[in-house]
Amino acid sequence: MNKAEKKFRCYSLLTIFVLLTVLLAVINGVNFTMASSDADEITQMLAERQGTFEKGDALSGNTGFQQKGAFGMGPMGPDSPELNKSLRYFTVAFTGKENNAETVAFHISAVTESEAVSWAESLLGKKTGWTKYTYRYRVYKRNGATYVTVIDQGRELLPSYRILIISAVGEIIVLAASWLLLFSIGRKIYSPLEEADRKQKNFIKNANKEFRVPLTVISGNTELAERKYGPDDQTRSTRRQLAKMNELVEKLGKIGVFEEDGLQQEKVPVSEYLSAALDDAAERFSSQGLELHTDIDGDVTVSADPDSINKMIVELIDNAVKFALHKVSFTLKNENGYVVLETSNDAALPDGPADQIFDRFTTLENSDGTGLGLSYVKDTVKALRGRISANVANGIFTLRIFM
Amino acid sequence: MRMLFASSDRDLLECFGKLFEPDGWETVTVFDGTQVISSLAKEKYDIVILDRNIPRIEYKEVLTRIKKKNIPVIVLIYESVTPKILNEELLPTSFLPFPFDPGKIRAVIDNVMKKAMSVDTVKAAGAEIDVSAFRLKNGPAVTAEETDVFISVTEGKPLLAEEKVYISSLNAKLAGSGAKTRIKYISKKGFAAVAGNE
Repeated sequence: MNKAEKKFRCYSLLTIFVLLTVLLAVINGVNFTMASSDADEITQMLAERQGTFEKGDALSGNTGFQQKGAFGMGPMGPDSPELNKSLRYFTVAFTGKENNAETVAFHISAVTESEAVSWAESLLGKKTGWTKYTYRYRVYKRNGATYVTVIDQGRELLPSYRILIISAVGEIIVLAASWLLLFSIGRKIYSPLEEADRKQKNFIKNANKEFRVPLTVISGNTELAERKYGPDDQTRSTRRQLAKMNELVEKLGKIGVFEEDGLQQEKVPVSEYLSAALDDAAERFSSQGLELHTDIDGDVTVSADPDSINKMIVELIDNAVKFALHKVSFTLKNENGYVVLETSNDAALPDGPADQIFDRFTTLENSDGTGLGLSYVKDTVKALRGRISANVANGIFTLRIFM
Repeated sequence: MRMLFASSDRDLLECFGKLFEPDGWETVTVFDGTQVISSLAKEKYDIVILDRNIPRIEYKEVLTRIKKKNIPVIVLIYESVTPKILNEELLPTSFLPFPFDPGKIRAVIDNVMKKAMSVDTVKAAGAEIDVSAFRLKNGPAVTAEETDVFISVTEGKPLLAEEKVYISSLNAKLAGSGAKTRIKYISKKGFAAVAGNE
């Protein structure tokens, strides 16, 4: 499974997860809000009746109560006459300066009256809310006394809890099914892309081989022609073009090299290779008027193909020499078990991520590059299962490699 | 001086068959492996240039036959020189990647011939290369270019960028020879041959 395919699956699954979670959160949120609203309607009704339905005007369809809960529904359905019979609740009234407690109504079996009083006491000073998970309370004042009404909503909340559990289990099932589906879809999408990439690499590789001998023959025949007729503008031009073609062939030859078997793996002294390459390039930097800063830890090594590391370093230096305006820096460090190689330079580039420069045949505008140098760097890092990134901030181009 | 140039590409043979005449070379061109073997059996050659994609007989078989006659052989390859190719068991005297210009192959031929006729050995930090045999003492074969790199680091000469590819293969061969010598970069001084524990 390649990286792009993995990314596709992860992002798709994340999207499904977020959408499902939001949807289910809304459904469960509305459900719970409705349950709270229903409970508040009832405690409000009780508050208006001083904490009880037992004072001669039992609730019925023609009592004048037109309670409207969430979505216009009454808490037991539209104005249920059975409401007062089905409620499990108690009301405690606190009167006088000593807060003497009196149980005004007690229609509940899970607690004793004395427990109800101490429970109500603990709610004094509050207004309304949930207590002990499934009990809704309201604290209110009537005729100089403070009333605390607590109703059990356990039975009414049960459907909400069931929906919550069902939706959570459903979400897990949907995510698992999506993962399997994405696996199959991902293969279908990425197999042709991988095949196209493989074909492209094969074509480049074969074309590269096919170019090599003709270029050698043209070069040889140019010398033979010069020997016979003397050098002229045409032969000189042919040589210049040959030099360009030879350079391109050299770069094309690097494509797909990491997919071949038997690449050498050994402990590569990256510090040595980088220091040596930078020392060699010192003259190029100074002739371009570039100021070079280096910060290279000694003895930084990585297990890799040494030639690839060396070529990668050469490409990074070439890139810096080509695009830097005034300053270039190279740092190499061991950080948390990773080798971190960073190069930065000032460059006439817009701010933002610049990862597209690693794409094969992608070149900057007005650049005479081949678009193969940094693509090779990326392939090298990929072969080492490392990470590479590039960005431009405040006119400074920074390329960072973790391996 | 006689050269055997073997490749399946007729244009290459025609061109390079003529190119080395002014340098004093008599070039015989052949276009497959059987012709290489029959030519070697019939006549004496001072050097063989062998296209790695030689048809009819496998490249390794042809190379083995050439090496048995102790003739220096330059193998033309279709990729860059890599540590992998340099660590092959059956090693020619030199690898030369296509494309190359006449100047490049001429320089490689001169270098190989000069070394083949040398009586020198190069020693550094306990390791020794027999130059004309293209071999490390008590160790594996080395190419002309690996020998050049060893000479350069021994004499403290800076290495060219393209020569660095030979360091890791040379280090592997040095380790294989039991010489406890390795080529190491010393900051601001360049590459040098040092004893293994330095």
